[in-house]
Amino acid sequence: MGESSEDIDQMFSTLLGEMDLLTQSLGVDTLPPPDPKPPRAEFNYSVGFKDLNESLNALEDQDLDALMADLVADISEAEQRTIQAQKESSQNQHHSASLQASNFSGAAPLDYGTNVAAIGISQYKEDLPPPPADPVLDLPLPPPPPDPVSQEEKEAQAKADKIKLALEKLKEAKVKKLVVKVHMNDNSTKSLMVDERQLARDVLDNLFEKTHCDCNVNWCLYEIYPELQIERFFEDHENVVEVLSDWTRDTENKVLFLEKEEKYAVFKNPQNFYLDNRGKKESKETSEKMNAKNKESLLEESFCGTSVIVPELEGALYLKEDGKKSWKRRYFLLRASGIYYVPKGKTKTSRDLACFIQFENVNIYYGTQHKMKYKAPTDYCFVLKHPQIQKESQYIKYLCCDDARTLNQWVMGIRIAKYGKTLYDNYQRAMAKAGLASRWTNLGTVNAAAPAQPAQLSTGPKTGTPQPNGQMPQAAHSVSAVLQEAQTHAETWKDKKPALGNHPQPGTPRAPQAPKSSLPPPPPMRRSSDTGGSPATTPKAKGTGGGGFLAPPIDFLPPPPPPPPMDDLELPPPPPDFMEPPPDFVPPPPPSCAGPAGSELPPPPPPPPALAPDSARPPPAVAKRPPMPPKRHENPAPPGGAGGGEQDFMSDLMKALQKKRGNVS
Amino acid sequence: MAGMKTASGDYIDSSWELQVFVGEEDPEAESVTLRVTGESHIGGVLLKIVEKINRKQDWSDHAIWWEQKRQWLLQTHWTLDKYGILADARLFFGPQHRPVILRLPNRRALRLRASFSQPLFQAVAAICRLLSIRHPEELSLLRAPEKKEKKKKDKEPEEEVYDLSKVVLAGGVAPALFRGMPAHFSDSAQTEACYHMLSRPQPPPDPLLLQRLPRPSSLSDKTQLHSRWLDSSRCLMQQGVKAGDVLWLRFKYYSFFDLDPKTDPVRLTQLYEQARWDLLLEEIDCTEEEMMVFAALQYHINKLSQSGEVGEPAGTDPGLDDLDAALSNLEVKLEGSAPTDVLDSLTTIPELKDHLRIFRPRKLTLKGYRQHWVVFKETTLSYYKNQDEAPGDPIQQLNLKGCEVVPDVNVSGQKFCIKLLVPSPEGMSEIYLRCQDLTPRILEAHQNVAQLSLAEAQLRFIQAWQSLPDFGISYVMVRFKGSRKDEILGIANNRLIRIDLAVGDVVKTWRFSNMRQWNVNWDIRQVAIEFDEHINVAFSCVSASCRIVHEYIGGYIFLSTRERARGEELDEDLFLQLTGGHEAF
Repeated sequence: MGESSEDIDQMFSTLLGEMDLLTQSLGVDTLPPPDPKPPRAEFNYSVGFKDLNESLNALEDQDLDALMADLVADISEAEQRTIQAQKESSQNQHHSASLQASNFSGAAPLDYGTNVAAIGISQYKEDLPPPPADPVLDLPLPPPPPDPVSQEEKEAQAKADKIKLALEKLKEAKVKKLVVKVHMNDNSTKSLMVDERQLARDVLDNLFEKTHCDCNVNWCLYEIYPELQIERFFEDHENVVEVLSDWTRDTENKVLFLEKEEKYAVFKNPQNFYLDNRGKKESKETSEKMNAKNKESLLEESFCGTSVIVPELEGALYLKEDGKKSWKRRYFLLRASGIYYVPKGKTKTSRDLACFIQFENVNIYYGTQHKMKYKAPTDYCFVLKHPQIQKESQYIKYLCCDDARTLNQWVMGIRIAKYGKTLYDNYQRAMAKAGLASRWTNLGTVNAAAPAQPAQLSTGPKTGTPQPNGQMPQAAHSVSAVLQEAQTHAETWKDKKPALGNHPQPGTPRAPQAPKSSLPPPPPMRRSSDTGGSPATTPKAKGTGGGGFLAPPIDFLPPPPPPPPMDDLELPPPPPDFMEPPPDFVPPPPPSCAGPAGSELPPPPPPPPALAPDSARPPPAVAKRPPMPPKRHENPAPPGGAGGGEQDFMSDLMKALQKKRGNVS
Repeated sequence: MAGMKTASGDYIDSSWELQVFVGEEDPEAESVTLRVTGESHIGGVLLKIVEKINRKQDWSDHAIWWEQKRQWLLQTHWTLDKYGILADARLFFGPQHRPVILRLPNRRALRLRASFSQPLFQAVAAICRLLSIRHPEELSLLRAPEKKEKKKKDKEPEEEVYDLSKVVLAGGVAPALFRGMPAHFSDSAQTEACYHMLSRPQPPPDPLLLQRLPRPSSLSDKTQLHSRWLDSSRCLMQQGVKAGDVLWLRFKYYSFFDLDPKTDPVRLTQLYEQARWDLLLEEIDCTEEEMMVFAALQYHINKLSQSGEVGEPAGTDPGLDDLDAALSNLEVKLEGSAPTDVLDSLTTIPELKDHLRIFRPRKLTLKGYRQHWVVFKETTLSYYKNQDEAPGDPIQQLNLKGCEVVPDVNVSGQKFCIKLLVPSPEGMSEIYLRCQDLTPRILEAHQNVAQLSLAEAQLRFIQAWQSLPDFGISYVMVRFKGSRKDEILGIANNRLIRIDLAVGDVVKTWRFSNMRQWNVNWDIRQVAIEFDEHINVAFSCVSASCRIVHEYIGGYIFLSTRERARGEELDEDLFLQLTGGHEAF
């Protein structure tokens, strides 16, 4: 930990800088609330981290008090200004937009703030009750209705009340937060503020915004246990803080942000997992031939029924014997209910199977270099353990496969058994994200302004319905719903049906083979369950997602993707749907005009994509970075140990304070 | 009109006499004789028959059945010539709907009137509409097994036969709900009872009876059932079914579309029952762990349905004693379920306290179980030296969140232990709790089911059933072309499976999605299937007619064309095209 006495100052100034931004920009006023919380959160959290608690207690220092006083003052000021700001907001739209943009690239807390704002919108409209934080956010709403004056005042009053209410609620809600140091694939790190309601998906979205990566579905948060030499990706629906809470204080574990092909491999080539005929390794060539349409129907069959189908998987694996470095070969079978093995002298019939492990309480990890570490027969190892176990233990199960293909099949099979449909939902969301992102960049700036607000909207629901158990937030539905609508479902099917009917009699060709097969958007999901829009129709992010689409991405674009010519006229129709998707990936949403589907939109910025979003974006990023001394990233994170990703922002501050005092004295 | 005579009484037109029996194929039945010509329309003939009988009665359901041709004369505008009817035709003027006794998936018997003249597909659809089961295309009828009927009749006490034969449904529209059930069930106490029988799980069967029921001991035993399916494209009459016969109603195609606990109480319940009997009679195998899940769910479902707590969410059962409450609370906590958390904070948190004996296995320790005062609240288990010290600091406190709870119960040995595996960074610590008399109710708690509503629990049961690897496979014994031994063909909703008869191993799987076409050669009773890449498969059917295999394949393909947008409307023609054969026409 190389904190110097400057750190504290830097952090201070960053913090204050953020506060300033807050007070200036409309959408941001929300920020204050989150800030006051950290301290409380800390107490909450202290259960798991005694050291922290101690350091807190030790910090009765004036420094801290002063800091807090400042914060609080700023907050209340912000509150008051909000109302005024609201009025001005409609005029200042562009201004605030850029401000916000910079916020985005800058401090994590700010992001949080804007998210919250987003929630407000959706809540306001939909009347969502639970999330306390929201009401505040109504702010963004105001911009649109600039006309009626008297009404506006009323609204403003109402909003002010709501804000107060929200602030109170926020104070009540003890939201736990951590500053997480995320290792990027270029060896740099970024520190993020993650609150306890955020899912891995939210954090990824956050990182997308910060890194300008291509947002493809392979990106994931990845946890590494250097000591155990195991690693795994966070599932997108997992609650990040919860996972990190299992780490010990002195942990060397790390969180990475990187691309992993394996993450959603099953959705890109389901045949490799579902049609791999046992025993016979005929396969690669035949299986990879599968066309997009068949993949789609295979996925639907496997994931969209009343219950998810777990790939049939069985075969001999090596099992590390408890506490020894010897490995035994055993015949294992995967079932939805767990992994089983065939006891000696028994057959494979269900009744004879012995249960090896069930998945409820364990996570699955890849083992790295276990050949060396544990004398494993190969390096294709996977590990099952309770997430809380952090040290070597007889309760960790080590298994070893003959080859990489088998390993991938087992790991994916176990994830499907453990997470079921959620996995598919996650994928669809990731696809929607990736698709929108690439569309966004393709279309360039067409209406930079318009989508802005939607962007916020989308994040709203996510954070808006925090679910303690890490369930998928509802937002997924809406996104997919959009996509779904986009596809001309029914029509496609009508076309198809006749095709079938035309070949009556015994020798009826299989329906899917019908000539219509070349229809572009194959109804991705016949059942079009409420949950599922199919990702198939969303344009693929570059090079990701199961290929196999014949036509150029544009053809698949669900309706919304407005071709350049689109202007006000076009916007209105898709509003509700359209608004949601773009948001996700849109980085710094100029909050302004977004509102009501461009009712007010001046003709969209010159269609000739001046890359408005891009241009808008980079500057802030650049601008913001400076204030954020790179050191800050490093400092906060390491509090615990080198890699300790979890730390509260405030506790970092305290650390730094302590350090400083130490130095001085 | 036919029957023009000269003064001497000779007929001068081409008319002739046609005898028609009145009733259901009873040779002793009364008959009427009509004078007709080849030009007479069936409609006119019907009219004459009714005139001749000269009895006040509603004849609207009656039609003429031609015995030799095994055919109904339903086209009233057709002439006798067109049908090819001559004077020697044996015709019966009888009702098209006749009573049958249905054996439902829940094994209860129900009398109702089924259509004997429509293709079975339609007849089943009508039955399902009466019973309030959506998606009738997934069900069909089987002949009851013949064996031992006589013996049993002597022995067994009369079982209750529910009766819906008097209930008439207005055609077309889905029945409206009245007092929480489709209106036609609310007519009388009997029909209401019938609805409850249909929509609520049955109590567990008598274990003794259960033991006596036959179980398949091999794959070939499992093929027996499938030889009894009736043909969907022909009517009951054509298939030799008589009024009063017993038929089984079962889910035939294991592809359950749009299963919705809220709108499908009867369908869900009957499906649950079918799944349950499937498991009880070992038609499908599962592991011990899976059995525990089924047992826990079944236990829970029984409890709910017996307490009359239908429809409402569980957990508010006043009958729950504090143990149950605490256990279920534990479940909630372990699951971390959101909505109930809110409730919990509003109500007092149940606490469970008792003297338990605790054992913590350690190396080099000979200590056994020691008695402690144990308090279990929220997710925390605290234990004290004795009850008096309870308000003070406990000896130890364990947070059970995320821990594994393994019941270790041996009733005959009076051993009721709970093994807790409490996770920590270093691994798991094991703790054994030994209770004086904790009953195996732990089982229920064990599986996180205590909070489920009846419908949710049933759905969960069905899902667990669907997750079994062998789920939804219908077995038929076949002989592959070029092979010298019989083998098993498994038919599932997405694939055909070739299975070794003796060992039970899967030899080969073909998916419907790769199927180009299939043909049935009715003469040599052979099914030939072509898959992509010029893979051809042909087999003759041994245990069932090849029509049954043909219908299974066509049926599954039909089911895969369903989609939500079309709602419940069925493309019956398509179904019949896919499942019918030359034989049928």
